[in-house]
Amino acid sequence: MTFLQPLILYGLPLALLPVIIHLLNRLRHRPQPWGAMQFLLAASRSSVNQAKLKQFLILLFRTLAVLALIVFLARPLSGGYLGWAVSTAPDVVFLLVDRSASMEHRSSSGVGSKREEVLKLMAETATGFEETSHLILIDSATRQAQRLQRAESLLEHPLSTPTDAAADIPAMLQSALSWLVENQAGNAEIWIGSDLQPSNWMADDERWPSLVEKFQALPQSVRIRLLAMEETTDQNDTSLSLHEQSRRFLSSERAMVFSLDIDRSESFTDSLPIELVLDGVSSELQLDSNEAKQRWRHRVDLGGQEVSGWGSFSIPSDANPKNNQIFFVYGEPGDLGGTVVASDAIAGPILQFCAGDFQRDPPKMASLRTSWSADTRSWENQTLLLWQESLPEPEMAEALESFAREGGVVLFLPPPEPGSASFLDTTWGEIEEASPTDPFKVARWDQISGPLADTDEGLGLPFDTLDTYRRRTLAGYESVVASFQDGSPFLARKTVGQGAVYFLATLPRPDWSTLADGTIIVPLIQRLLQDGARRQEKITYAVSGELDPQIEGKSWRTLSATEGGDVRWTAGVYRDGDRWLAVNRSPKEDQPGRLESEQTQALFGDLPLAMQEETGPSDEALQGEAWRLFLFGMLLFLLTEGFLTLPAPLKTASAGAAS
Amino acid sequence: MAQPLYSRQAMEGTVSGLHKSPHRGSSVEFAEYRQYVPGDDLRRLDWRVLARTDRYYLKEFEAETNLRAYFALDLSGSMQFSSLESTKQQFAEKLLATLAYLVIRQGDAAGLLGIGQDTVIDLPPRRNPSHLQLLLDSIPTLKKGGPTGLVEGLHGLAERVRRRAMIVIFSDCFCELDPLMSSLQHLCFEHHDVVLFHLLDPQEIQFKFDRPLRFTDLEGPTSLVTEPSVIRDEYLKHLRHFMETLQKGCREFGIDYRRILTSDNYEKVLADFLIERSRVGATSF
Repeated sequence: MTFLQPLILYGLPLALLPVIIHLLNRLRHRPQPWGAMQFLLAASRSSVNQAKLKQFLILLFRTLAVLALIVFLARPLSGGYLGWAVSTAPDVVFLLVDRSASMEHRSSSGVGSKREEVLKLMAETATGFEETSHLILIDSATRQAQRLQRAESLLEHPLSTPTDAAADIPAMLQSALSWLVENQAGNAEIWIGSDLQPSNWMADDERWPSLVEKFQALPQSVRIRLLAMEETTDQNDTSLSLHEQSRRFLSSERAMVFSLDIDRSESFTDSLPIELVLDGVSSELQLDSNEAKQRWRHRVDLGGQEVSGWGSFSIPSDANPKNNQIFFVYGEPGDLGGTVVASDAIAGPILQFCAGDFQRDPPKMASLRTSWSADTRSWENQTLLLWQESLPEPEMAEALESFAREGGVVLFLPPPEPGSASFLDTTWGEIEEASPTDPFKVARWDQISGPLADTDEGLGLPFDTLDTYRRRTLAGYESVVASFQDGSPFLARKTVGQGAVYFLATLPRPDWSTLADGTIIVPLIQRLLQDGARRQEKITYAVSGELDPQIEGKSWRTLSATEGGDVRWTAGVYRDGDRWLAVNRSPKEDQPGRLESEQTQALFGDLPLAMQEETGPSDEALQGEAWRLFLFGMLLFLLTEGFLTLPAPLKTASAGAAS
Repeated sequence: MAQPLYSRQAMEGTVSGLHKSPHRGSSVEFAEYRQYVPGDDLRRLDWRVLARTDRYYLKEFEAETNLRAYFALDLSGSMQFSSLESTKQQFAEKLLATLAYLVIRQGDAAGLLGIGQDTVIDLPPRRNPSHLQLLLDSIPTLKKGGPTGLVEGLHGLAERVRRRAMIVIFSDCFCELDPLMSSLQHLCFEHHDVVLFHLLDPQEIQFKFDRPLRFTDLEGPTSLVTEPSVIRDEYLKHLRHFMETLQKGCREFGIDYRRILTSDNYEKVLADFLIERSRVGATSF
């Protein structure tokens, strides 16, 4: 049981008042001189048990009455039907339903998903409020307030179905707040059903303090009731996510190389069948590794035809069917175009050579420039940009970012002068040098995915032959693809939209490194050139719930998802004419963990919060104010006490009349 | 003419009076014939019997003597209780004074025994009117309160008074029952005419209280905080048992037990007592 005014509970010692008053009264009884004391003492001895019992009961009921009063003032919240039965009905009840993919995890009861459990509990309990309160549904996907006429309709409501999108709890609360302000409603209760996934709750988000402040400033009282679904770790749950998709469109063959992240429950690590669907044709693969977390690389041969298509990887259904499938699309091969912006007379030509399109006959060389125009119209046929100048100024930076968002790849190389500008929060640092006899060596790199991955034959890039004498440090990078022995990044990466931005710490110059030997730099740049070709293809990858409005506005036709699935929050492959769209669930939904109770309560500040941890099917799921119960209890105790303290009816009979 | 106070049994007085004596005397009341034995007064020979039967018989007559009444007054603290205008003690004093007046007025002797924790006063019976004044003057000066010494006082009285007398006891008898009965029995063994005025306050036999009280013992330091309504039944049960046992014991010993409430009209109490006594006295003679 929780309390809306817990400070009042400090008054619990006041429950001893009746006992204290009783003891004081014993000292203050009116004295009555008495002669027949011997009979009185004998009677007292005979009646002592009965009298003591009665006295004890009187004190007990008085103490209970005071206790009930204090608890009543502390405004207790009780779970289950009892709590709801005795609580006052608010004017508005908001039903905030977390429809995120993680809510499709089977609940601890095993009966249904967490979302279904939440809906069931909310519908059951909200039934009692149908006549007295406005029921407003706010789902995590649309975040639009929808009026419900009947609580039962929540179970079948189109806005309570599962999605592949992440939930934004602060935004949902903001919707509730806006509705309250616009409709000038009375007292409100906000019921939140969620699994407390940290990525959905965004505890560090700066909206929280502002939200709490605004709710507190409302003239009407707002109470929060949180139904927190328990995290279930003992069930068979494997999540499949797409780490990277690399394009291998050679002159003779076309292939896609996928890096899939597989995260399995520790107790379920048998071999895993993986179903690959390619353009509607299904085939089964087998993953024999029994590691709990692993990155699995798989090459999909697309054949020689120059067509676009789609596919998916999926694993057998388990505790959460929403994290078992990923979708991909591929486009028709387009032109590869590389541009080198460098003033270095040695490195520039080497880079120009590496960035050439060797799939053509004769090969098409990359262009080499010392500067470039920010006018993106001149970038139409470009897929890779090698930038060996100081980081671009804002106008150019914006253009480069846009280039990357469209699917292009930008590789930054150490400039002669670092400059003061930064690109996507990443900046160049100082130059560090090593002696020729003890050069910097690359110790770790991603051999499964990325531009430094092993070859299709399984051969790793020969980093042992690479000596680096000079390198420029980096700050603010997102992830490291390869690093030196001391941990300093050799190649860092930042994903931007459909494309990516890389930072290479050294140059293909003899005084910088042995990169110019070509065994590392050529495959690196060629792979980046291929990846950047996505910019030329008419395919788009999107995260469910985070679609660009321009993409949203197209007339997408679903190819893989359930019929009627909304492109905005349903994973799948969609097509609009010659444009392809692959929507996968939000990566936020794969982030493990659960907010602690204290963290959650801290988020709501001083707002009245009743939090119920839901571990299974239980009547205690949601809480209601139970002050009525304690008020009635207090009255009952007082009545009983009054009955006990009534003087006994005086009998007319006496000990005997005079004779 | 006031109603005289008669004894229910023969008295042993020193002067002639209204009351029967266990000894033969010279009154006009014939008692019996007895054979002459040497030493008898020849003047008491019945010459008519001698003439008719040639045998020596003495004709004996009842002696009539005076009454010696001892008024024993319990002065213990419990006698000071009152829920009305007068305490049990005051009620008893009125009865005592009136009876003493009657006794002396009819030429009998009256004495006073004040019994507190110890015997407070012991005025032997006297017949003269000045003694009445002394007795009446003594009553207000008696030291009252404290524990009862009734049992010891009655035993002492029984030891001291060897000749038959009327012992009139005024007490609430709030003491241990067995010793009390023993002391009353002691008086009866000495052939005294014992009258027990058992004085009670109406509140004591009704026990009507409506709130918790601290009862403080009038005879000691004991106190008891209690809820009267809770223990009333038990209290009345114990009191009833006490009174019944006392009354039954008195009946067995031939004691004239009279339960008096301080709410009673004391004139009626006295009238009832004297009328009953006169009836008993008339049948005795």
